[in-house]
Amino acid sequence: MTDEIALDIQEVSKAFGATNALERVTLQVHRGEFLTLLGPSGSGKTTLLRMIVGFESPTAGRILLGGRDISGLSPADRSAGMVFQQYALFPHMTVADNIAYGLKLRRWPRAEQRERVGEMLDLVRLEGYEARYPRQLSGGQQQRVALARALAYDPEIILMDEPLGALDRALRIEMEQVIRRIHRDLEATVVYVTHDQQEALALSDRIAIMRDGRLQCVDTPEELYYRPASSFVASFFASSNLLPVTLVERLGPDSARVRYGQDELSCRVAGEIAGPVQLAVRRRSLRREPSPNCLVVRGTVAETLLFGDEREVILDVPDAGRVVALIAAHAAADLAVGQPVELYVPPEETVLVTDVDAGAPGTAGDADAPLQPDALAVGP
Amino acid sequence: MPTHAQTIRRALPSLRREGARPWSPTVGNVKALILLAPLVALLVGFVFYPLVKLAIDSLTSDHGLRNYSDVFANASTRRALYTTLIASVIVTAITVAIGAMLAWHLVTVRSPAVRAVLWLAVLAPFWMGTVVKNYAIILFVSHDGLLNDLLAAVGIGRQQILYTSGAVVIGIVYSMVPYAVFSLYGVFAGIDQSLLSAAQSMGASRIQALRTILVPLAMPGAVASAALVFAISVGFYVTPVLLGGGQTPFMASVIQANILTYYDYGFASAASVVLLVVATAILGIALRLVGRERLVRAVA
Amino acid sequence: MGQLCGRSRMLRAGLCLAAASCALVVSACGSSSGGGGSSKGGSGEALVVGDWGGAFDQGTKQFYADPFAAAGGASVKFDDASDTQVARIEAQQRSHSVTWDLVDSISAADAYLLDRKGYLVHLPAAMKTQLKKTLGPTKVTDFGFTMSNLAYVIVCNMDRMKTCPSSIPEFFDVQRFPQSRALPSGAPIYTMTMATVAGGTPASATSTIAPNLPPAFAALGKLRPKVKAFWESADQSEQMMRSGEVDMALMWSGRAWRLKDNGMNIQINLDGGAYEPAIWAVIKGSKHVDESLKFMQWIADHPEAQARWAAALDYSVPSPKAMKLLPKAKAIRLADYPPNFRKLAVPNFQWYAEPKNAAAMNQQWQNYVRG
Ligand SMILES: Nc1ncnc2c1ncn2[C@@H]1O[C@H](COP(=O)(O)OP(=O)(O)O)[C@@H](O)[C@H]1O
Ligand SMILES: [Mg+2]
Repeated sequence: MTDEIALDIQEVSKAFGATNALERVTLQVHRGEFLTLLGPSGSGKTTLLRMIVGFESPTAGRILLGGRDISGLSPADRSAGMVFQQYALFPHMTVADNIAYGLKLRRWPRAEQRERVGEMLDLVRLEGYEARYPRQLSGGQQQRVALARALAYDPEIILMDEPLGALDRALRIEMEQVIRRIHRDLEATVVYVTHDQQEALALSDRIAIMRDGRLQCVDTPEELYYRPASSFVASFFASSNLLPVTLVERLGPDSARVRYGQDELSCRVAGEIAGPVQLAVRRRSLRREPSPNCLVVRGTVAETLLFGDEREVILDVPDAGRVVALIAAHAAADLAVGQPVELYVPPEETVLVTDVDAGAPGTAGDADAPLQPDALAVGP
Repeated sequence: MPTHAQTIRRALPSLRREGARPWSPTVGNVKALILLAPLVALLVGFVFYPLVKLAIDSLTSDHGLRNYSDVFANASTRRALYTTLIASVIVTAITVAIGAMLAWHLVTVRSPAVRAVLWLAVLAPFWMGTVVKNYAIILFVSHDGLLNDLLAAVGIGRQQILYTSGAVVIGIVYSMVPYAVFSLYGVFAGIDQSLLSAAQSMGASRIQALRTILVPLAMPGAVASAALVFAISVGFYVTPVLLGGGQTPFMASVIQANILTYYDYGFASAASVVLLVVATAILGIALRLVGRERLVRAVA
Repeated sequence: MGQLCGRSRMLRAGLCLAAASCALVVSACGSSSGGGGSSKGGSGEALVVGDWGGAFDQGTKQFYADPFAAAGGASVKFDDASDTQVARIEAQQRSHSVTWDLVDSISAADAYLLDRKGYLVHLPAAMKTQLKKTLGPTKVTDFGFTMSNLAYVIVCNMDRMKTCPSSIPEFFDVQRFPQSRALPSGAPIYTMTMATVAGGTPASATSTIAPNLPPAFAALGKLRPKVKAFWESADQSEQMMRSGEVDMALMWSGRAWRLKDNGMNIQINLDGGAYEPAIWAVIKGSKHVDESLKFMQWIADHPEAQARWAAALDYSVPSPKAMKLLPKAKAIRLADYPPNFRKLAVPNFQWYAEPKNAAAMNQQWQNYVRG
């Protein structure tokens, strides 16, 4: 990854009739960066991708690729490679012809085409499959051909729309590795769409979280996971529990004192704080052993499910509703449904968040408020 | 609380006990034959029998084998045969082209209102009777008709269109477009639109994407559609009569005249057999040229 | 309604084609089932007439059949066989199961053809002589008499021309009349009869001498560049005139009058036309020949019935007395109205009934049309 900006999305909006699929999205992707658009279904990820590749044009805003404004260009005049969820391989062409399609359009000499197809097949580990037709390949193989096809002509940016969505779990994990390796080897700039946090975590340099057509925040997986800037990021990205707390005082730009029930504790702050506050507690932060100054969560066991090494314990907590904890299986062996239980959370693992909803971007925060590492969180 | 699977498992043995055989979507050969028997009987009674009878009549009635030499010796019948075949080929090309454009729009158009209007336009010739349909074309191409008004307006001047082979072609095309649209709609609807997006994302223009992706994928369907249109066109009777003014004779007119005006059944049946054989041969050759292997591959 | 519909040869031709093929199939089945139907005979039974259906049958029933039955004759039933009469008779004869006793108003060319094949009963000599006296010699043949007669006439769109050709030679004169024309495409004998007149044969002689084809086709050849269309059905001939696609047409008189009645500015010249008679005849193999002949005799002997029939259906009838009984305005439109009839060219049907003559003419004619 370099500092050079490959893709610059400036205040882009898109309306389909009355629906605002995208609202004032601003985002930069660096050359060689792997950026994932993550968000629930219908949040506008595909729409954004289709605008980058040129199938849709923005209602407002500009898109620059390599410094060039491509907003008004046809797909053919942009230099993007796209990988589709359903592969979209040409059924009447062999694997080799599929991969060579973009090369033919660019009038590469025949010999170079053949050579490049060979390289691409090596890259996706499909040597010897050039003469097959797509229907003679498995789903994973087809997606690798699709990847090779999009990469073959060296596009400035690779776009992938849930490329692993149609594959089963084992293949998905295998393909994640293929994609990671290729990204590393080719130093390609990738914009990747998924609604799966695990996939996003495994692949991304940075993740842009989308919600209802707005960009919620953009950050590294670590920051988003450990220091979520909003209650949405905390619950959607890290599946954190949100406990109702009251703000006692701000201790500085990145910490505060809050009260949960009778207890008071210090916690981190990562984003803007405005309006009702909640405490984000990751599922693995709930422990059975107390630690100094820890937060105590009391409830009764509603259900437990064994996940191999870990056990998911669901508590009914007065005021907070259901709280989910992931506890080492041996430490949770004695928990039975209906049993009252106390779980403990180290205060440094809690983050104070508010629901900085899309509803009001640019809500004035405190002057000394949030740290936003890449200055790309919420709107202007 | 029992799980869903348990409930089902518990229900299964009771089903077995009542002797219900497991349902299967396939039907045995014998059963299938019995079910198909009425259809087969219809086919034999209304297709094979008349064809065989026609072939036998053409060889036995009136002048026997000479019926055939008469057909080929007759300059006007030969001309009718050429006219029928050439006009049908032209009709087929135009119809499939128009049908493809309409079908493609029907598949891709997003607005339901536009789609409804398109369907209406496509179906209109179906709802009209033959005479009404041809009369509509007469009004359209006649000396004072819309088309000539248009030609006059753009400075080309009025042309004699009615009672030429051009009018006949226009008339048959109008009748045949729905057939082409129906058959091609299914073909296009079966083609994944994202293939075109994929092609464009790789740098293909819209035209290139259509040419390199849509056309090859639609080709077998288009050929089937063309075969259908050709086969029906060859048998047209009323349109050539009404729009051709007797000067674009189709074989059907010759056959009709020989039955009703000249009472030469032998000649008429021989002419029918000749038309049938020649049209079938043309279809066969055309399908052959496109390539069976290519058809099969694209369909599979 | 009903006007000329029944008899227009090519009308609804597609249907006719279908019907004809049905007839062929019927004939095939009939031969294996071996004539069942009419083997009983006897005088109390109804006569069956192969007819044109619709208004035509109704007129014939109301003005001929019902009065005939009321006067003590046999009752008459109608079998609608519009435009498929020849095929049906052919089928009945081949399968030896004759179900018709009579056929009504079959075109003269068809009648002669059927007679050559021996399918029609010849009139007894005395009856023939008597009919010739009642109806006139040209209206009676060996096997019947004419009915529902028509004329092919010259019709001009007077918005397009100052004068209309008033004779057959003028119609063929493309120098004087360069306007476009429409001709009938089928039934060539009528157009050919007119062409022989254009080729030099006097109109009064056409019915008796063999047509001289080479000069006739030479005349047609000169006409060809001006022939814009050939009409297949009477509807089409009207439509061609009405839409102004052609300036002149050779068309059936009834249709021409209809155009005029509808307000079109046309001129109709019966002076330059051809007579197209149709024939009543008894079918060979009928079990009621005597009763059938009696019915024909009754029609011939009742000019007032013919006049009513003609008034209702707008077709011409053979009896000169009937012409006198009709209002003049109606009579002058009909082919048998003596001043009209005298000027019409009558085809030589006897010559045309010879298959090799018909084949030669038809062949050349088809080449002419499609050429
Ligand atoms: N072509 C379109 N016409 C109308 N609405 C659309 C269209 N494409 C997307 N939308 C709407 O835009 C919103 C975002 O859709 P999309 O970008 O597909 O979301 P995602 O890919 O995140 O699931 C949705 O509400 C969707 O219904
Ligand atoms: Mg999507």
